[in-house]
Amino acid sequence: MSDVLPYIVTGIISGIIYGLAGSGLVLTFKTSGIFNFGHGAVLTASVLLFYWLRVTLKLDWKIAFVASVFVAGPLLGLVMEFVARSLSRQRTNMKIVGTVGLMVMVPALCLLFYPASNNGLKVKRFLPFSNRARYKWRLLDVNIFGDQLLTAGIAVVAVVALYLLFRFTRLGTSMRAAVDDPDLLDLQGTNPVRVRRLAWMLGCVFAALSGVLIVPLVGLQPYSLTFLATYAFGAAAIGGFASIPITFIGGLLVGVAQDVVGYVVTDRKWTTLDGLPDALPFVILFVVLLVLPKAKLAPKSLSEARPPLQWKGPPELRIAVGVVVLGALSLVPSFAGAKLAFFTFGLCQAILILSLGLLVKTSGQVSLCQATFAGISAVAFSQFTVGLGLPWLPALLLAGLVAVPVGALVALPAIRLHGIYLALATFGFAILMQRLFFPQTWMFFTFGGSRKVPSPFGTTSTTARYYVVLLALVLTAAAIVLISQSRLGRVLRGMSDTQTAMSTLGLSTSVTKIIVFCISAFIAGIGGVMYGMVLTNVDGSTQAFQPFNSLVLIAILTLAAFREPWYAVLAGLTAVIPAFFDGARTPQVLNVGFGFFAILVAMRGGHPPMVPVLQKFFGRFGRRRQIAVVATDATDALDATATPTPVAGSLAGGLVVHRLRVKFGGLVAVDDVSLTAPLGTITGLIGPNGAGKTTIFNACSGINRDVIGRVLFKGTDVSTRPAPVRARMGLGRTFQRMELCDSLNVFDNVALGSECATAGRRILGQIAAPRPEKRATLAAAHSALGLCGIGHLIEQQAGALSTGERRLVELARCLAGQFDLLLLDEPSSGLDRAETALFADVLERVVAERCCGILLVEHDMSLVLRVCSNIYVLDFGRLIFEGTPSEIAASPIVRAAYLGSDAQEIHEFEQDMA
Amino acid sequence: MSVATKTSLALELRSVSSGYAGTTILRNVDLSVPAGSVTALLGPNGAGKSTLLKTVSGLIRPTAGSVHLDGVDVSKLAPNKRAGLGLCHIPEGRGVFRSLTVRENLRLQADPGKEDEAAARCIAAFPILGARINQIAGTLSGGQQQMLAMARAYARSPRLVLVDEASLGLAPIIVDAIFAFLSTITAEGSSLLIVDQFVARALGMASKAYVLSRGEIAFAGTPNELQQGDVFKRYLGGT
Repeated sequence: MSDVLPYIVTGIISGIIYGLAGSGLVLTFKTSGIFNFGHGAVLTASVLLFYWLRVTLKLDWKIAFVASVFVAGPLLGLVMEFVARSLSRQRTNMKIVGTVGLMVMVPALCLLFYPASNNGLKVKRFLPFSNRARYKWRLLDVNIFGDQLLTAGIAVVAVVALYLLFRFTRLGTSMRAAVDDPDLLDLQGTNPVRVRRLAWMLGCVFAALSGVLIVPLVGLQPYSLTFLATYAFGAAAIGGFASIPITFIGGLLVGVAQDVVGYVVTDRKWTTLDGLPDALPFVILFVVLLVLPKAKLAPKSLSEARPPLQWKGPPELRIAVGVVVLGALSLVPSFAGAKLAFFTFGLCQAILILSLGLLVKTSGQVSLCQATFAGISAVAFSQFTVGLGLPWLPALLLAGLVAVPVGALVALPAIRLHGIYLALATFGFAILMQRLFFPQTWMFFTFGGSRKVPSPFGTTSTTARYYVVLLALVLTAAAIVLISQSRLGRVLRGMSDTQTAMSTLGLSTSVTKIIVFCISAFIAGIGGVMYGMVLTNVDGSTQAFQPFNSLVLIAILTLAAFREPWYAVLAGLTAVIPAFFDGARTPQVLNVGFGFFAILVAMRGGHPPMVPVLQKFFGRFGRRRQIAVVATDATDALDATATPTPVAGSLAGGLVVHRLRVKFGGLVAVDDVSLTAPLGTITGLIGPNGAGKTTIFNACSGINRDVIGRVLFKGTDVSTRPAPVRARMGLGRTFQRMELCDSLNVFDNVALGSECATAGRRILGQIAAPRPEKRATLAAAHSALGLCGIGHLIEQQAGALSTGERRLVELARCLAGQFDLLLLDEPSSGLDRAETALFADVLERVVAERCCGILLVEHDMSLVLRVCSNIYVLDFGRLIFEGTPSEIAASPIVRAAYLGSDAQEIHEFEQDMA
Repeated sequence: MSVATKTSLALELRSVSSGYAGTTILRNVDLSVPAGSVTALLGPNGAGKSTLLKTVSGLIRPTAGSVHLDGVDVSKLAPNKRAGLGLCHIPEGRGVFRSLTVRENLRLQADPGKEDEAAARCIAAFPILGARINQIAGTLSGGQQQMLAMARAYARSPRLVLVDEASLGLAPIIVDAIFAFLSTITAEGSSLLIVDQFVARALGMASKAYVLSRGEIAFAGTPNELQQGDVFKRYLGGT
């Protein structure tokens, strides 16, 4: 036992510093909603300044300390707040890239200033009491030194001060209030931007302080410093990404566990676990993300920017560009000469970028472990060819397949997690693999060893290798283009815009996520083998397979403009730059550029669409196309998709809600509500704001299954079934806050209404549509478009439409599905009077001709009174009345619910007035 | 600033249009609240009442027209600046910080340095808040949360108070308390613009009424004039 004690002491010292860094991270995350992946970059930047002042300029440590912690820290905080404010309006993947860019940029910057820091620069202990011969105490047989005590003391004082400030001062109260409701804070006279700015300044001071305190222990090595701060991610995970004190304790635990595990592993000579201490924070991170209750990790419902509008050139132009690009690429070996290897690497990079683009650009999920997939496949390929003697091509495909289950494993957290938490999980996974598994003998060996990656037919010609990679790239690009135009492409982009809507349309999104991760891992694996083949030998330190390369890849992906596959070609070209600027500093300059510009692009929410002048210019290369005007004869259109007519008005076919009760915390939102929505009629559900109408819808459609009571549909109890299953049974819905796929055009949006349920949970069904299904989708979409009178909009991107048009698109999407009962949540809000009247016609016609049922939540009483045959009135979560439109209009109870008070009072009031 | 034109209007909206990204909700709205009086704003859900209040307090900037508080054009000011000019907007849906305690909520409502004094006033108005002073606001009952939110109108003696659906989802006895409180702050000199589902009560307090319908002013006049037509029909936006 006693021999562990020294490790506990050193563990506490580094743990306190992790806790310090983690506290700053949690502070900024809580107050701004932006998770700063670049927290370590802030730390590194401050340390860089400290090193310059202290070591290069030989200034007094106090000056260097104050300048780098209390001057540079707040200044960096100001910059970070500015970046974070722009990012807060952008979509999740941009929020992630915006801070990941820092991790790419800052270490490279550091290397530009101090190239020698690549091998680590020592910084002498500078704090007072650093004379270890003099200031030394023995406690329980362990040496404790003065500088250790001082370091620990400073960190503890800082964290306690932060905690007290956060808990007990007006500023701290404002910070917590800004988390709750920034608008309300603004209304109360406190500027939330100012509050956040202070939080960022404090957070960055904490990063800087932890950096300056730890640099005497670890030295200045920009990458290890930047990644060292990511240990704080593990600490923050223990604190649930929310609690500052628990994060600090988490940091302590991580530090102690690391050193103790390190001791045990060495002591027992468990060499296979050599990487465990370094991987430990990420094991913790990964496990916490897997087990933490979902509610705690729920994404904040901030209004995010709609995706930028996209423009697609005419097919003739795209084909022409493809031919030119391919031609140019195949001519490269004829002029590249000795620089050919750079071009080959560029092509490999393009393959990896395509695998990442499918995840990020198409499905809206961020993976920070793409390079890890590549490494795994490269090793597998080497094992298959060199080890097992398999032929080249089968080995290549098998190696790609090896990455697939790994992709599926990473997709598991993706099913639960959204946005930054998924990115964190993949990041943790990448580092875990690199530190724990890369050094294993069955992977890359511990050190010194490397694996051979042979070329086909044992060729050693660089030109032949170039063409092999080019062929792989062309095939991959073709596959990606095919995917993006197939059902899977639509489904992925739809899911990226609104997962909720996709599942209520019948799509099992968990299956979709696994599919896309598997495909992406396969492609990344192929890219990895190609890399290996060009290098001929790979080992555990091959740059292309390091977690850092995953970060660089995502920065480059963000920078590269245009649609698939062109962004990959552009991104691949960046690998060729060092061929022409071959200075020793080129890689660093490039990384600074990638990181910096990725942040700028992320702050703007991605690339803007091509300017209209160019759109027009390029558009002329295409054949003029008639926009297919969809048949607006609704009667014809309806016939095309008429569902088997259920017995009109049959109870068994409709929706029955039995004694439903929904609670949110202590608040009973819906209390003992029973209602019936039969087929063949329109049933109304009205009531004041906050009465519980949308809550009932969420319970019916399966979005919220945490309810008491029963929901029966077509005579089956569906209370426990998930949303997609209910949708496939024929229960469709729209949303009060519209859930459209904003990056898709109107036609694809409407087509998804029919496709999601058809694809359902079938893997093949989600990937591609067989011909008959394609035809059915087309017919259903056209009929729904015609019915809603939006046939002229089909080529418009949904994100560009007006509210009224968007309502109609959402309705059309719902009508395109084979739904027997539609839950429509305030479908007329945002429509003007004429549109509302038209809308009522559509509803009546749909019900008459399809014999489906509608449950309508609506505020426009004239609409409700006109179309509904039965109306329920809800108030305070309880049903207070049920009746026909005329009964409703005459009911004093309803008047009271809407006008307030009781009818008697109104009566008196009217008499008073008269 | 030039010499402010002496005006008796606490609030004036001149041809205001506003809305959210790309969607116009208010169209060309003219509205005024005479100083020291109560004005009621009615209309069906979705008519734009909350949008109008948010435009007044600055959470939404008008796309056209201007907003004047006591004759000063505040159209370009941030909400916290407008609050500094004596505006108090109590938004719909329990305007409290749910994760903070009652005491912390009261502190943030007050001017810096006057926290204790303001808290004492608020507790005098709503004694229940004193009894729950260390409770987390999110665990209060709906009525208590609303009282805490309303207390803000007392903490700084604002010039103009905007109250959005204060009685929503509350038991009648609480609604009585809320309306009694509104009368108190009017008596102390604040002007009031109220949106409330309890039309009769709102009109009972008001000397002036507006009805919004699909983002446009459908009626402006006295409650009496409004009563000449049928309130119910107007309120439901019936055609």
